[in-house]
Amino acid sequence: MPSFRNSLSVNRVVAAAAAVLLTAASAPAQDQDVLMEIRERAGAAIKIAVPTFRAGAGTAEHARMIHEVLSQDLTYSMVFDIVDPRVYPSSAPGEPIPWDSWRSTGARALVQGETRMEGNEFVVEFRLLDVETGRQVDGKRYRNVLEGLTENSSRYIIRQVAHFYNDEAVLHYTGVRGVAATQVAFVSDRAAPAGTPQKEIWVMSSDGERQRRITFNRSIALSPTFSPQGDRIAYQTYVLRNGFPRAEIHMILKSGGQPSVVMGCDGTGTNNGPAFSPDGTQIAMSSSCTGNSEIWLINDTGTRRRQITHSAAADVSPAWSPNADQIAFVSDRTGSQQLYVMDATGLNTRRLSAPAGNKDDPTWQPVRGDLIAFTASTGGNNFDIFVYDTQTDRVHQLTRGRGRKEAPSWSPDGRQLVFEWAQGSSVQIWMMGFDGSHQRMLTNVGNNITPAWGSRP
Amino acid sequence: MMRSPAKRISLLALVAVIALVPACSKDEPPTPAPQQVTPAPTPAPEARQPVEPLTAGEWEEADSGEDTSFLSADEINNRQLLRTIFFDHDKSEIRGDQRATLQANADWLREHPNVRILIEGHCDERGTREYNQALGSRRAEAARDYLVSLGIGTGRIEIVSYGEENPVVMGDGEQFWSQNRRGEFVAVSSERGTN
Repeated sequence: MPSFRNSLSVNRVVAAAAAVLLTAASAPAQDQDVLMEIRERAGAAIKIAVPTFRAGAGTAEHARMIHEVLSQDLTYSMVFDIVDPRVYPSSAPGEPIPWDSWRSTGARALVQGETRMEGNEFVVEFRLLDVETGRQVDGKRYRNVLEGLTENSSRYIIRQVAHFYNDEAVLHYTGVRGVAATQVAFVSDRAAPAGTPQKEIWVMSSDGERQRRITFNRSIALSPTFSPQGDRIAYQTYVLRNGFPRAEIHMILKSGGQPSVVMGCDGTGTNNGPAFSPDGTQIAMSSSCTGNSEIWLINDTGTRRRQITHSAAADVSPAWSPNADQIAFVSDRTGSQQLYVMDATGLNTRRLSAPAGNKDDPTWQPVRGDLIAFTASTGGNNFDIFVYDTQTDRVHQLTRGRGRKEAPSWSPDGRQLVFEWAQGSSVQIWMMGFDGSHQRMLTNVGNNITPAWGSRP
Repeated sequence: MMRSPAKRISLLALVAVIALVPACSKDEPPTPAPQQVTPAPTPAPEARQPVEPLTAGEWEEADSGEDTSFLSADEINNRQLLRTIFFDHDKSEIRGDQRATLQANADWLREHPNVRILIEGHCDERGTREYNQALGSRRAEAARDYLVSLGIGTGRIEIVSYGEENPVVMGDGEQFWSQNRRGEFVAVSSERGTN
C-alpha cells in the first residue's frame, strides 16, 4: 500500500526529472543520487499507524482535533510515514488488539490516544506500541483545565498537546526531540503604517498558530536568529544615533523586553546577518565598520569583537558548524557570490564547489552537520533552496517554481527547513522537509520574511 | 580705494538703524550726528570714515537668487534640493549619466557648508537580502567617495545601507527595479551660520 510519503516522493521524482530535462543549465544528473543518499543518512521512515482516538463523554471534538494535529505533525516530522487509515483493522473497545492484522499493514508503530474528562480536568493519554512485539514502548498522560479559556486559547492548548506527543515519539525513535512544539521568529510588515517600510519581529508556533509581535521599534528589523537556548533573539535593526540611522545588531528576550545593542559601528557602516554560536556565547555577523563588509565575531555581551575575514570583497551571511569549529559564509571575491567555509579562527578558507549562479544564506544542519542549506539564483528573478552535502561535495535542489525562495533556517532537529518565498508582490513564510517534501505556507497577512527556527518555548 | 556696493549697503544700514533710535526713546535728547557715534558694532577702520552721501546712480542690482542658506533639513529634503542617483543591476560604480547629478549635489553642498548629509544605498529586490545589505553599502560608499573627490568634506557625510528593504516603487520588472537601485541624499542637520 502506498503511504502518503511514498506517493509524494514519487511525484517529486517525476517533477525533478522533468526539471532536469527542461533546465540542463545546472545539469543535476546526480541529483537523484544525492537525494537518495541524503534520505538514507536521515534513516528510513518509520511506518506508523494512528487510528482514531477514543473519546470520553464531551471530548469528541477535542479528540478529533488532537488526532488530526498529531497525524499532521508525524507526517511533517520526516521521521514517520503514516500508514493509510483505510487498511487499519477494526477492533471494538475492550477487545484485544488484533496484532496479526496490524502487522499485515506494514506498520511498525501504533499510536493510541484517548481523551476524557476527570472532574473539571481534560485528560489526554497517548500510548506508543511496537507492532512486532505488541508491547507499549512509550506512554504519556497530559491534563489541563480548559474551563474559562477563550476559544483561541483552548484551541492553542489542545493543538499543543498533540505537538508534545509528536515530539516525544520522534525522540523515542531518533534520540532527538521533535520540533512540533517549537517556535519560529520572523519579520513582518503587517503592522506598518501605510507608506512606511517599517518591519518588526514576530514569533509564531511552528504550525503557524499564535502569531504575535514582539518588537515595537517603528523601524526596519531584519534577519532574526534564536540563541541555542531559545530564550534570546538577535536581529538587525536601524537606530538613530545623533540624527543618523545605523544598522545595528540588537538582542531581545523572546518574551519581549528591552533590546540591548550587541554591536554598533563606531563610525559609519552596516551590521547585519547575526548568527549565534552553538554555545550561545558569541555572535558572528557581517559588518562594514572598516569600510567593507567583513565577517566579525563578538561576545553576546557586546564586548571583544574581532574581524576574521580580510578581503576587498563583500563577505556576508556567516553560519556556524554545529561543533563551532567552522564558519560558512558568502563572498563575491571571485566576482559572483559563492559559498566558502573557513575555520572559526578565520584561517583555511576554501570555496565550496556548487553550480554557477549567485548564492547566499548558508545554514548548517544543526545535528549531524552533514548538510549546508543555501539559496542560489536559478535564472531570471528566481532563487531556490538547495542543500550542499559536505560528505560528497554535491548539491541537491529542494524547491522549484517561480519566485525567490531564500533565507532557509533548519529546525532544531535538522529534519525540516523554514524559508521565505516571494511570489509576485507577496512574500510569505514556508516550511518543508529536508528533502523538499511537504512544502506548506504558514503566513498570509502582510509580507513575512527572514524566518528563524528556534528551540522549545 | 573704491568701496564695494555691499559695503556701502551695510554702512547705510548702520546709519538707518541709528537714525531710528530717537523714535524709540522720546524722553532722551536727540541723538548726535552719525559721525559722533563711537561704539560701532564693528569698528573697522573704514567705518570711522565719513559716510559719503549716496546717489541713486551708485546702486548696483543683481539677481540674488533665493536664499536657501537657512532652510531646515526637512525643507531641503521635501523640496528635493539634493537629487537621487541610480545604479546598474548588481553594480556600485557611478554611472556616466549620473555624474552631472552628483556634480550638482556637490555644488549645492559647497554653497551650503553647514548642511550634513546621509547617503542611503538602496537595491532592487533581485539578489538576496543579506547580499543587498552589502551592495547598498557599496553604493553609498561610491557616492560618498565621488562627492569627496569633488571637494566635499568627508566629515559632513554619513552612509547607511537599506539593502532592498525600502523600495520607492513595488513591482516586477526593470521599470520598477531601475528606480529602486539608487543612492538618496538626505540632509540631516542645517545649522545657522555664526558669522
